[in-house]
Amino acid sequence: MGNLIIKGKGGAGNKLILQDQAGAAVLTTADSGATFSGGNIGTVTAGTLASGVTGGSGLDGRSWVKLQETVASNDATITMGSSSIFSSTYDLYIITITGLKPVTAGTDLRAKYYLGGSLIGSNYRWSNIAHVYATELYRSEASEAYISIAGSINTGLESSNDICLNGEIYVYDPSNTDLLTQIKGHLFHFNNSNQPQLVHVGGTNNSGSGAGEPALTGLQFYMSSGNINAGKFIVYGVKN
Amino acid sequence: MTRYHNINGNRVKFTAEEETARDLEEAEWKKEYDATQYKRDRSTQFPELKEQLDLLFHDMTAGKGTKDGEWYKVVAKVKSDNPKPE
Repeated sequence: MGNLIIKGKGGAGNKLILQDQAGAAVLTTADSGATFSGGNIGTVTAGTLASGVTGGSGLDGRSWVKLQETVASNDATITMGSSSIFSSTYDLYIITITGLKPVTAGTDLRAKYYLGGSLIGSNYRWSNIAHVYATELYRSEASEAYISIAGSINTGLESSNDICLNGEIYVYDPSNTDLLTQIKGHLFHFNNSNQPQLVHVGGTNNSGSGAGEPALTGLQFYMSSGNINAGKFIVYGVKN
Repeated sequence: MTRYHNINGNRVKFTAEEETARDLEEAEWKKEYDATQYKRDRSTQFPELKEQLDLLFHDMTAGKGTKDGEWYKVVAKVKSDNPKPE
């Protein structure tokens, strides 16, 4: 059997309406497209939402929107975000980092802000704690040239190239110019002594005066020495 | 070796000034890294804190509150095996 086509009578405003047994409209066509309604849409158990589907009130606050993806390949720096990506559209942005490997094992992952489009090389305040075997490594700085995201990242555990860093960086309200934009990260990797290392880091830049602080327009990631050999960086906006 | 930025997927060559600044930052990191290697080496060899506290407990029980105690010997050995650079 070929396609079975049912359509409303020609002419603007003529609808095709599917109803449930109680007489409530479940699917109502428009002159172009259709609208699902009623509770039945909540029983969908499989399928794929097309990329063009936008979130109504039912999705607000519960969805990540992918905004940017960059794959590192022996790059000295990776810059994520821009003035159009970090905007007032979302209060929270999340940068996921997966499969990051430095060219030089044992080096640190660092970050710098772009404020108002300019890369900032001073006045970072941050705190970093790494949970490691038998100890915890604390570091806190009040006037540094960068934020240390994670330290001593190894690339080989059982074999020469079998481990990496994974984690995420939260960027809070980057377009707000009344507050210093803060970032916070949770990451996991193995250090150069082959110990598992769970890292929590938070920081900001106080080059501005607080009120009137330029908006955060990007984040630059780089290693303390050598290039970033591999890794995928993705920026998501989290619906307000 | 020439360095490149990856800015939103676009590769941009470092300027001469950026290369110089990056060389300096990497040299500073290497100096600090080498100076603190002994800390990383020690951290893998010290017993866990709960084990150290247990050693101290047994030392105190045995009346060994001095350098004759096991806790002191274990910690002192890790330090002497991984000396702090002059």
